[in-house]
Amino acid sequence: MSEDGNAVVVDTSALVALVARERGSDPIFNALAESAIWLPAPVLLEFHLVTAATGNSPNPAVAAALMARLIADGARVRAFDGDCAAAAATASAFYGKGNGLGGLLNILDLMVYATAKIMGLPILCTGKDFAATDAIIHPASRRD
Amino acid sequence: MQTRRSQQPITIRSDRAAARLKLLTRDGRSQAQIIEEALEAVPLPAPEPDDRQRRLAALKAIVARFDPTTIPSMAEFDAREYDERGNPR
Repeated sequence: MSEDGNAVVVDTSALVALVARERGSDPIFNALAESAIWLPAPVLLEFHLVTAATGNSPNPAVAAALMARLIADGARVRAFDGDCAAAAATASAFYGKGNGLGGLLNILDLMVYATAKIMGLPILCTGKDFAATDAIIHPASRRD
Repeated sequence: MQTRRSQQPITIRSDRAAARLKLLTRDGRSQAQIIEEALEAVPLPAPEPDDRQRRLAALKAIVARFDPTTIPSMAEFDAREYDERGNPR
Protein backbone atom coordinates (compact mmCIF):
# COMPACT_ATOMS: atom_id res chain seq x y z
CA MET A 1 0.00 0.00 0.00
CA SER A 2 1.38 3.38 -0.89
CA GLU A 3 2.58 5.84 1.71
CA ASP A 4 0.86 8.89 3.01
CA GLY A 5 1.19 10.95 -0.17
CA ASN A 6 -1.68 8.82 -1.37
CA ALA A 7 -3.49 8.45 1.91
CA VAL A 8 -7.21 8.72 2.48
CA VAL A 9 -9.65 8.70 5.38
CA VAL A 10 -12.50 6.32 4.65
CA ASP A 11 -16.06 7.18 5.66
CA THR A 12 -18.70 4.56 6.33
CA SER A 13 -20.65 5.70 3.27
CA ALA A 14 -17.84 4.57 0.96
CA LEU A 15 -17.85 1.09 2.50
CA VAL A 16 -21.63 0.89 2.33
CA ALA A 17 -21.52 1.87 -1.36
CA LEU A 18 -19.36 -1.19 -2.00
CA VAL A 19 -21.35 -3.75 -0.09
CA ALA A 20 -24.73 -2.43 -1.26
CA ARG A 21 -23.46 -2.50 -4.87
CA GLU A 22 -24.29 1.17 -5.32
CA ARG A 23 -23.47 2.86 -8.60
CA GLY A 24 -20.10 4.54 -8.64
CA SER A 25 -18.52 1.89 -6.46
CA ASP A 26 -15.76 0.93 -8.93
CA PRO A 27 -13.72 4.11 -8.31
CA ILE A 28 -14.08 3.45 -4.58
CA PHE A 29 -12.80 -0.10 -5.00
CA ASN A 30 -9.83 1.26 -6.94
CA ALA A 31 -9.11 3.95 -4.38
CA LEU A 32 -9.11 1.38 -1.59
CA ALA A 33 -6.76 -0.87 -3.56
CA GLU A 34 -4.21 1.82 -4.32
CA SER A 35 -4.30 4.18 -1.33
CA ALA A 36 -2.86 4.24 2.15
CA ILE A 37 -6.08 3.79 4.08
CA TRP A 38 -6.98 5.34 7.41
CA LEU A 39 -10.10 4.02 9.11
CA PRO A 40 -11.44 6.28 11.87
CA ALA A 41 -12.30 3.97 14.76
CA PRO A 42 -15.94 5.15 14.87
CA VAL A 43 -16.33 4.10 11.22
CA LEU A 44 -15.62 0.50 12.18
CA LEU A 45 -18.52 0.64 14.61
CA GLU A 46 -20.92 2.40 12.26
CA PHE A 47 -20.10 0.04 9.39
CA HIS A 48 -20.84 -2.89 11.66
CA LEU A 49 -24.16 -1.31 12.67
CA VAL A 50 -25.18 -0.70 9.04
CA THR A 51 -24.42 -4.25 8.02
CA ALA A 52 -26.23 -5.58 11.08
CA ALA A 53 -29.21 -3.32 10.52
CA THR A 54 -31.58 -5.98 9.26
CA GLY A 55 -30.43 -8.66 11.69
CA ASN A 56 -30.19 -12.38 11.13
CA SER A 57 -27.84 -12.14 8.16
CA PRO A 58 -24.19 -13.07 7.70
CA ASN A 59 -23.36 -9.48 6.76
CA PRO A 60 -21.76 -8.41 10.07
CA ALA A 61 -19.35 -11.33 9.93
CA VAL A 62 -18.48 -10.47 6.34
CA ALA A 63 -18.06 -6.83 7.39
CA ALA A 64 -15.54 -7.95 10.00
CA ALA A 65 -13.76 -9.99 7.34
CA LEU A 66 -13.63 -6.94 5.08
CA MET A 67 -12.14 -4.81 7.84
CA ALA A 68 -9.63 -7.55 8.63
CA ARG A 69 -8.65 -7.75 4.96
CA LEU A 70 -8.12 -4.01 4.70
CA ILE A 71 -6.02 -3.98 7.86
CA ALA A 72 -3.99 -7.01 6.73
CA ASP A 73 -3.24 -5.10 3.54
CA GLY A 74 -1.96 -2.10 5.49
CA ALA A 75 -5.00 -0.03 6.44
CA ARG A 76 -4.58 1.69 9.78
CA VAL A 77 -7.19 2.48 12.39
CA ARG A 78 -7.11 6.04 13.73
CA ALA A 79 -8.31 6.30 17.32
CA PHE A 80 -10.83 9.01 18.13
CA ASP A 81 -8.85 10.90 20.72
CA GLY A 82 -9.08 14.20 22.54
CA ASP A 83 -7.74 16.20 19.62
CA CYS A 84 -10.34 14.63 17.34
CA ALA A 85 -13.09 15.40 19.86
CA ALA A 86 -12.04 19.02 20.08
CA ALA A 87 -11.92 19.34 16.29
CA ALA A 88 -15.34 17.71 15.99
CA ALA A 89 -16.78 20.06 18.59
CA THR A 90 -15.41 23.05 16.72
CA ALA A 91 -16.73 21.73 13.41
CA SER A 92 -20.20 21.14 14.85
CA ALA A 93 -20.71 24.90 15.07
CA PHE A 94 -20.14 25.20 11.33
CA TYR A 95 -21.28 21.91 9.87
CA GLY A 96 -23.20 20.01 12.54
CA LYS A 97 -26.88 19.24 11.98
CA GLY A 98 -27.79 20.74 15.29
CA ASN A 99 -26.24 24.13 14.70
CA GLY A 100 -29.37 25.74 13.30
CA LEU A 101 -27.45 26.97 10.29
CA GLY A 102 -28.29 24.16 7.92
CA GLY A 103 -25.31 21.95 8.74
CA LEU A 104 -25.49 18.44 7.35
CA LEU A 105 -23.10 16.40 9.48
CA ASN A 106 -24.37 14.01 12.14
CA ILE A 107 -22.24 13.04 15.10
CA LEU A 108 -20.46 10.23 13.23
CA ASP A 109 -19.83 12.48 10.25
CA LEU A 110 -18.29 15.06 12.57
CA MET A 111 -15.93 12.39 13.90
CA VAL A 112 -14.80 11.48 10.39
CA TYR A 113 -14.53 15.12 9.39
CA ALA A 114 -12.40 15.88 12.45
CA THR A 115 -10.14 12.89 11.86
CA ALA A 116 -9.53 13.90 8.26
CA LYS A 117 -9.04 17.53 9.20
CA ILE A 118 -6.44 16.75 11.86
CA MET A 119 -4.59 14.43 9.52
CA GLY A 120 -4.87 16.79 6.54
CA LEU A 121 -6.22 14.01 4.36
CA PRO A 122 -9.09 13.68 1.90
CA ILE A 123 -12.26 11.79 2.76
CA LEU A 124 -13.42 8.90 0.61
CA CYS A 125 -17.21 9.00 0.85
CA THR A 126 -20.52 9.23 -0.95
CA GLY A 127 -23.23 11.85 -0.61
CA LYS A 128 -23.46 15.60 -0.34
CA ASP A 129 -22.75 16.01 3.37
CA PHE A 130 -18.96 16.23 3.40
CA ALA A 131 -18.93 18.04 0.06
CA ALA A 132 -20.82 20.87 1.75
CA THR A 133 -17.92 21.45 4.14
CA ASP A 134 -14.34 22.60 3.68
CA ALA A 135 -13.14 18.98 3.84
CA ILE A 136 -10.98 17.66 1.02
CA ILE A 137 -13.05 15.11 -0.88
CA HIS A 138 -11.18 12.24 -2.52
CA PRO A 139 -11.77 12.28 -6.29
CA ALA A 140 -13.10 8.71 -6.22
CA SER A 141 -15.94 9.83 -3.96
CA ARG A 142 -19.49 10.00 -5.28
CA ARG A 143 -20.94 13.41 -4.52
CA ASP A 144 -24.63 12.56 -4.56
CA MET B 1 22.86 -4.58 -19.73
CA GLN B 2 26.56 -5.11 -19.23
CA THR B 3 28.93 -5.19 -22.17
CA ARG B 4 30.40 -8.59 -22.86
CA ARG B 5 33.82 -7.40 -21.69
CA SER B 6 32.48 -6.34 -18.31
CA GLN B 7 30.58 -9.58 -17.68
CA GLN B 8 31.90 -11.91 -15.02
CA PRO B 9 32.72 -15.42 -16.23
CA ILE B 10 30.49 -18.15 -14.91
CA THR B 11 32.11 -20.67 -12.63
CA ILE B 12 30.65 -24.17 -12.86
CA ARG B 13 31.17 -25.65 -9.41
CA SER B 14 29.36 -28.94 -10.01
CA ASP B 15 31.65 -31.61 -11.48
CA ARG B 16 28.65 -33.27 -13.08
CA ALA B 17 27.50 -30.03 -14.74
CA ALA B 18 31.05 -29.26 -15.89
CA ALA B 19 31.35 -32.74 -17.39
CA ARG B 20 28.04 -32.38 -19.20
CA LEU B 21 29.08 -28.98 -20.53
CA LYS B 22 32.30 -30.49 -21.85
CA LEU B 23 30.36 -33.23 -23.62
CA LEU B 24 27.84 -30.82 -25.08
CA THR B 25 30.52 -28.56 -26.57
CA ARG B 26 32.02 -31.43 -28.57
CA ASP B 27 29.82 -30.49 -31.52
CA GLY B 28 31.54 -27.10 -31.78
CA ARG B 29 29.09 -24.98 -29.85
CA SER B 30 30.53 -22.68 -27.22
CA GLN B 31 29.83 -23.07 -23.52
CA ALA B 32 27.86 -19.83 -23.65
CA GLN B 33 25.67 -21.17 -26.46
CA ILE B 34 24.95 -24.33 -24.51
CA ILE B 35 24.00 -22.38 -21.41
CA GLU B 36 21.83 -19.94 -23.36
CA GLU B 37 19.99 -22.79 -25.05
CA ALA B 38 19.52 -24.50 -21.70
CA LEU B 39 18.12 -21.31 -20.19
CA GLU B 40 15.66 -20.97 -23.08
CA ALA B 41 14.41 -24.48 -22.34
CA VAL B 42 13.58 -23.73 -18.71
CA PRO B 43 10.05 -22.37 -18.21
CA LEU B 44 9.94 -18.98 -16.53
CA PRO B 45 8.10 -18.68 -13.22
CA ALA B 46 4.66 -17.12 -13.35
CA PRO B 47 4.90 -13.36 -12.89
CA GLU B 48 4.08 -12.08 -9.43
CA PRO B 49 0.56 -10.68 -9.49
CA ASP B 50 0.48 -6.92 -9.25
CA ASP B 51 -0.10 -5.98 -5.62
CA ARG B 52 -2.86 -3.53 -6.49
CA GLN B 53 -4.65 -6.16 -8.53
CA ARG B 54 -4.26 -8.68 -5.72
CA ARG B 55 -5.77 -6.28 -3.19
CA LEU B 56 -8.59 -5.38 -5.54
CA ALA B 57 -9.42 -9.04 -6.17
CA ALA B 58 -9.35 -9.80 -2.44
CA LEU B 59 -11.69 -6.88 -1.67
CA LYS B 60 -14.12 -7.83 -4.41
CA ALA B 61 -14.15 -11.45 -3.29
CA ILE B 62 -15.19 -10.43 0.22
CA VAL B 63 -17.71 -7.85 -0.93
CA ALA B 64 -19.34 -10.48 -3.14
CA ARG B 65 -20.26 -12.36 0.04
CA PHE B 66 -22.57 -9.56 1.24
CA ASP B 67 -26.27 -9.78 0.61
CA PRO B 68 -26.89 -6.26 -0.75
CA THR B 69 -30.65 -6.63 -0.44
CA THR B 70 -30.36 -6.55 3.36
CA ILE B 71 -28.13 -3.49 3.58
CA PRO B 72 -29.82 -0.11 3.96
CA SER B 73 -28.56 2.87 2.07
CA MET B 74 -26.56 5.33 4.12
CA ALA B 75 -29.48 7.79 3.90
CA GLU B 76 -31.89 5.16 5.25
CA PHE B 77 -29.51 4.24 8.04
CA ASP B 78 -28.93 7.88 8.98
CA ALA B 79 -32.67 8.61 9.07
CA ARG B 80 -33.28 5.66 11.34
CA GLU B 81 -30.31 6.01 13.70
CA TYR B 82 -29.81 9.78 14.03
CA ASP B 83 -32.28 12.47 15.02
CA GLU B 84 -32.83 15.86 13.40
CA ARG B 85 -29.85 17.26 15.32
CA GLY B 86 -27.58 14.47 14.08
CA ASN B 87 -27.37 12.73 17.43
CA PRO B 88 -28.07 9.03 18.01
CA ARG B 89 -31.77 8.38 18.61
